[in-house]
Amino acid sequence: MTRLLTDWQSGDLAAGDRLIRLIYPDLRRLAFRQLDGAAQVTLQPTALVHEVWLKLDGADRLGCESRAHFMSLVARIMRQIVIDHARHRSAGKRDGGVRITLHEQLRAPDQQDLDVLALDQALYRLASIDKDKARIVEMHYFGGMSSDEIAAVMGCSAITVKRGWRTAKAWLREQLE
Amino acid sequence: MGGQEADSQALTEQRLALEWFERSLDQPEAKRDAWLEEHCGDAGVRERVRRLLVADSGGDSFMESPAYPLLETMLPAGSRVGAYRVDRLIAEGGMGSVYLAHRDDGVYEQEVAIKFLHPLLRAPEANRRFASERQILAQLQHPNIAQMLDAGHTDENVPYVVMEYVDGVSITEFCRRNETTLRDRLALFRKVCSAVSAAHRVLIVHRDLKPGNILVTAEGRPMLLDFGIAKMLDQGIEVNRATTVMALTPAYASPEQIQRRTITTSSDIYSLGVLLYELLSGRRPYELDRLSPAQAQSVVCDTAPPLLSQSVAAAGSDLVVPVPARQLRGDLDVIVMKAMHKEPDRRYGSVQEFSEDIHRYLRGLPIHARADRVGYRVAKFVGRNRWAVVAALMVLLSLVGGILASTWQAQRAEQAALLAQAEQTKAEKINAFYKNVFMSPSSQWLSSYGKGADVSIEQVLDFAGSQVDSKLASEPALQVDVLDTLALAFQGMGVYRKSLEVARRALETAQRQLPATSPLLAVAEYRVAQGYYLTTELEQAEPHYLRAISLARESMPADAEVLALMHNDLAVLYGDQHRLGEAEREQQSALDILRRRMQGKPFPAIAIGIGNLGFLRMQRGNLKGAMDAFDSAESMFAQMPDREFAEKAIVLYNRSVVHTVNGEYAQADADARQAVQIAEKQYGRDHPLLATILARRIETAVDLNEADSVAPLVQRARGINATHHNSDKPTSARVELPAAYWYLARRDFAQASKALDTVERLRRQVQVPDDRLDRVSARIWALRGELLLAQGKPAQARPLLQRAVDMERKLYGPDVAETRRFQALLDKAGEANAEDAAQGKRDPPQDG
Repeated sequence: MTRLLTDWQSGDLAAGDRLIRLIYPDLRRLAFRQLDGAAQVTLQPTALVHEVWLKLDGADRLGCESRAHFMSLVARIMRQIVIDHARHRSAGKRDGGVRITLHEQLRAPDQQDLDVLALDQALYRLASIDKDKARIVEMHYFGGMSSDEIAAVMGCSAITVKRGWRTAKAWLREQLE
Repeated sequence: MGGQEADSQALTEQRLALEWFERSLDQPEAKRDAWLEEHCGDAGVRERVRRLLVADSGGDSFMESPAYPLLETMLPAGSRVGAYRVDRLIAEGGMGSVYLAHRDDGVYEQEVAIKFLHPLLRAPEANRRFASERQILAQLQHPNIAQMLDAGHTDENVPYVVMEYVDGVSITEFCRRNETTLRDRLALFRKVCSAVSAAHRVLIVHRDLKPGNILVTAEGRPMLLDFGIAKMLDQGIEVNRATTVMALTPAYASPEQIQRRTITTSSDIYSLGVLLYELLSGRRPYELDRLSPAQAQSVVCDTAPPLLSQSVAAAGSDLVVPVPARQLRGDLDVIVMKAMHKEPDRRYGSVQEFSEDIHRYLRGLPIHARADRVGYRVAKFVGRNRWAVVAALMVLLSLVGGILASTWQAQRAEQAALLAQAEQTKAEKINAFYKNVFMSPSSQWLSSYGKGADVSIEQVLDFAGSQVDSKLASEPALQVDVLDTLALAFQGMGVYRKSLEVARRALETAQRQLPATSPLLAVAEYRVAQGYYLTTELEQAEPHYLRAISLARESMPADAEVLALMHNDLAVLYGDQHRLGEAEREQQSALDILRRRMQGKPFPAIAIGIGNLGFLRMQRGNLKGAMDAFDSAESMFAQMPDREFAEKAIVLYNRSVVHTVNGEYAQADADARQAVQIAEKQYGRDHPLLATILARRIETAVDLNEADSVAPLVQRARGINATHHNSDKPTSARVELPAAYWYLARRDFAQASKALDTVERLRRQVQVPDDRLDRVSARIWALRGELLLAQGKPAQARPLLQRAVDMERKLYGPDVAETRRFQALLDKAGEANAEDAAQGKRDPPQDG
């Protein structure tokens, strides 16, 4: 896996796909394993990534930057999981409109549920306009990554990431509302 | 303008809008519009930027929190799920969410807990399994198990389970709060055991026993939650073994769970052991909280936890110790360690046994848990080689009895040394012996073999053997014990001469220095007997077996497993000597002991023993008795579905033979096919036993007139024998005989004759007397006769067929299908001969 990760970092897209196929089942499994007596386990992607990362052979030799790259990969998987889930739920409904509740504890009482399928579509459109901003959304929103971590992946400053996030968010909001 | 161009223009406009938006953010909010008007010339772009600015100023929590995909839509109070109405959320975890609800269809009032499966854990194909699983669980009823009441899917296809609601606290918390005494803790724990045991009886494994799943009500009644739920969930999750990523490590999971090996009832026993440890010491055996999962795995799988009593003693005064260390030392230490053994086979055989030992402890009786086999310590020392030792032990021991009478010597290896009582001091002394011999700086070991040199296991054992007399001079019992272990280890490695040599040393020491009532003396006799058997000095072996049995009768409980093993081995020996009556008697004694011991529960050794009994009956011509035995062995195997036993292939093989003799060719074929399948899986595709089993299948296929399809089987069977350089060994006759039968069916007389010649030549090596009642002899004569008949030599065929018929009549009687088949051949030969005689012909002269 470490090999795939380095290949992927150096631009081998197929390596990324293979990595996703390898990690996806384990993320699911990990999500399940989180239950260990303690109630109230929130399955944040970052926590999952941490677990998976620790178990990578030779991960300790790869350093922080690789780790951030790895997280960005997980963010993509998380996006896929959310979307799959939303699709699955929408399959049984006639109107096709899907509302998925987001993070319950942090949700403002008046906030409307977000239509993630529409968001997903909008993200594809955003990617065609500005690929980097779409990636920032994916990493931050689906992967729970911090600006610093995203900056490490993208090779830019955290300020740029923050600004990109704000822009992307405004654009998405304008599209979705 | 083409559509494409329009698209690309729109994209450009969007891109520009994003750039201008970002730049305008640098301006004070009030001046942004004016600034844009001044600097940005494109009205379309300006309009887009304005819309973005409006969206940006919304300022509420749009997309503020990451979209964790894991949380389920909250069910508001009053929502209906099936026949239930939701009251409130009780818990939310990785697995999903749990709601308190009550029944709301006017049937009756009942509080229930509804569990919703986490979205991430829902695999599309899991639903079907979920349904079948829940039917099993619905039948699980026990006063200490929260009953599963219902299960189903919501309209959105989210699976849920409705459970009896239990209002209580976790068992550890309950004991802590009430400062429960040792006796009460143990009594409470035994109630938990009875619930788990009830589930195991219907083959439901909990898989996730931990304090959070064992609540105690205010009245002090323990209730187990989530029985079988873990399995239901697990099935929805695909396992990817290709990755190096391992699952997280729950503190109560057994090594086999962590390593994702097969999970059995024994895994629950392990978890119960951890629970008991925590209940009695106030802490868990391993401190895993701060470890990475990989580290945690290696701790759980490779390190021994501190003894219960040591754990408490080490806790010092800062921890409120529930039970003083001195009360835990000894029996409870041993009980917990046995339950928590890393190898499932070495734990208690059942939860009931575990509970029973605690009961015995409470009543002041000696417990059943015995000291861990000494060999384990050798193996531990041997370190990286240990699996080689164990594997060699298993493989070789399981082959000793061969196809004809498989034994359960692997178990024997486990149990033989379990005789000695569980004395911690003794184990420590033995440990010290090995340390002293191998690890001390002055050890000759180091100077002889050098540090880190690649030494063989045999060398290690040799050296240990050479040190026994001097290092353990004042401890004859330990001497015998260590020597016995070494003999066992050599046996496992197939170094039978050396094993016998060491066993004889152990026996001499035992005879000289131990009282006749010592169980070690009986074991020493037994080991010597095995040594002679394995070096094929059968006559020498018998008296040692007999002495071992009579000594064991005096020095061990009547239901000691090792006693059963002795009888079993003697049965195998008698079988080899064709003393079938005595063999059957010994086999029966072994079975009686085991059955008494297991009290009707299924047990591998019993199933195998019954199979052996069937074989002996078959040898003696008792087809009905043999069939009964094989059937009951098979059904006992079926009662242990968690594991497939290689020995089942042998039982099926033998049953197939009986079917053939009875003329039930289709059943014979079905058994043979299944035997092949199991053998391929359990022995491997190039194992010599597989060749023999394939040979059976050749015969059944020919009997069913499928001769044309068996060529590859013949090739495979011969290929396996060739690989093992067995083509010239007597066992190859087992393949060549059906091969001859096959050639004959294809009317390839030359090949058939050649194969039969080989069979006869190989048989001469084992010197089977012609007058011995033996089906194989009858088969060979019949086949030779049939061949001669087919070649038009009825006069030569007749005497052979006559001998075959006589033999079968003596063995099975006149009315058995095979006897009649041979008789028919004989009649045909008679007719042909009479015809020839009438025409004045004689058999053509034989070739050569």
